[in-house]
Amino acid sequence: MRYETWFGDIEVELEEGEYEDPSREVRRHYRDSARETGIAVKEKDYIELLKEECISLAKTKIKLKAEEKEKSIERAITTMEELGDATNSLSEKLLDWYGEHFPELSLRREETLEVIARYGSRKRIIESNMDKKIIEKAKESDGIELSIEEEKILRRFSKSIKEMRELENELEGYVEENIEAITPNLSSFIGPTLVAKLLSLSGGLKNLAFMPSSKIQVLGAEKALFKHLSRGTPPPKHGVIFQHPAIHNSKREIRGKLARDLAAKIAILARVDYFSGESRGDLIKEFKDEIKKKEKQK
Amino acid sequence: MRWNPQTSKFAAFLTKKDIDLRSNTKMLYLGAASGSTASHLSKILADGVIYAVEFSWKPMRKLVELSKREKNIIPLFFDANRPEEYAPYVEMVDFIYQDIAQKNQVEIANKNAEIFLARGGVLLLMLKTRSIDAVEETKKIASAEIKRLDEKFNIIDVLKLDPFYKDHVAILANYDHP
Ligand SMILES: C[S@@+](CC[C@H](N)C(=O)[O-])C[C@H]1O[C@@H](n2cnc3c(N)ncnc32)[C@H](O)[C@@H]1O
Repeated sequence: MRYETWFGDIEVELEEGEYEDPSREVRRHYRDSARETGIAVKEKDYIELLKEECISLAKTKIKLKAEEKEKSIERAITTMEELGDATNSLSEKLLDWYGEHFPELSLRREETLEVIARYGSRKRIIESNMDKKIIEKAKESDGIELSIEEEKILRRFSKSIKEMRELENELEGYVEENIEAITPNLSSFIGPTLVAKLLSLSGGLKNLAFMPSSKIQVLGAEKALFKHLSRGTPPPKHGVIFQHPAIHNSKREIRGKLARDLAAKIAILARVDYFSGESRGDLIKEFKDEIKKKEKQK
Repeated sequence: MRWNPQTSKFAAFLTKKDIDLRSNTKMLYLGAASGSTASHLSKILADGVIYAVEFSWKPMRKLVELSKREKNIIPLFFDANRPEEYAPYVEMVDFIYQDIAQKNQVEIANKNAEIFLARGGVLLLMLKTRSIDAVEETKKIASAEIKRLDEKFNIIDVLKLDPFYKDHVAILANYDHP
């Protein structure tokens, strides 16, 4: 019988009926068979070689999984952005609408949404145990009346917006957590939000890992770059990495240099994340220290 | 780092029962997660080996890093439901430790024992129960189920893991497969 093992296929002859389950017998002798094959001659070699094999197998599978995940993350990011825009514009609409009914209610946006969802009409607010001042305002309001039907719609509307916000938060959590898992080093260096933007601009970690740092530096500034090439305007100094506090908080004169430096470090960490995925706390600390030092230079 | 019974079911188990973990034990660990328990076990089984199976990629990533530091941890990125897939990598073992909160956890234990657990070997199964009240009932059902699936198992002990884990029982069994 042939048996498949990590050190190659082995041929084992066992007497008919000698063992209830021959494969168990074979598995008892993996180390011996490996030695006989000349793979792991010393006892300790066996574990060492097997481990190497299993680590490389695990890494390959992790990489595949991570690439798969990147696609759902990308969807999650675009959904999150659209959801953000939509909830903003819808809550504007709701607030305008409700403003006709209770123009005197001067609360912050989120609070107003909460009041609408909880109570709806001024009548209910007056009957509630809310803040005295608000109840006073409701009594003296000269907004138009709400029909029962309208009240029902506005309350439902407000609840829906709240739910959309919750979904947005959930998406954000999902994105951050998974970005951190895929790019442990980059995320700890510049934060998952900026990493998410770099990934979507570059088309994924693999692309980012193979990208020269000069290109990373201007990712997200494609328009300016195009203008520079076609019309000879000054080249862009930085793209989306401008959002990194080290750059936008520093003096104009050193921003270009800082951006170049940051991009070079991002390129290295993208490669570490793509090729090994190992957390390199030491390297990140060194990089952060260097950037800090440069930020302070005149 | 201290081995904490609040965060490791194996440690919680050891506060309840004194078992003989020889340093040359070969262990198959199903559901090793990122390896916090495995890292402690690897010190106890200094001359042995831990075959650590985990199928979720996020903890696996950490487990791989850990296995680079601890010489006797072998990371296996596989589904414990499909032992035939990692059979080419795993020799016969003396001990199966399983900490997987899945519906078919008993079935998983049996499949793996059938393939990897040597005669006289030990199975330690951390079984998730529905609630504290259900512990007694779970004990009975679980031991019956283990026997039913494979009569080669002899249940040595069924222990509650309270106060550390209120929704788990530990089942210690012995395997008698020729
Ligand atoms: C409760 S955690 C284990 C914690 C770990 N034993 C410790 O003490 O550090 C359960 C783990 O089992 C893994 N798991 C669940 N089903 C699995 C399966 N079919 N195959 C392999 N691993 C599985 C989960 O991904 C999870 O990491």
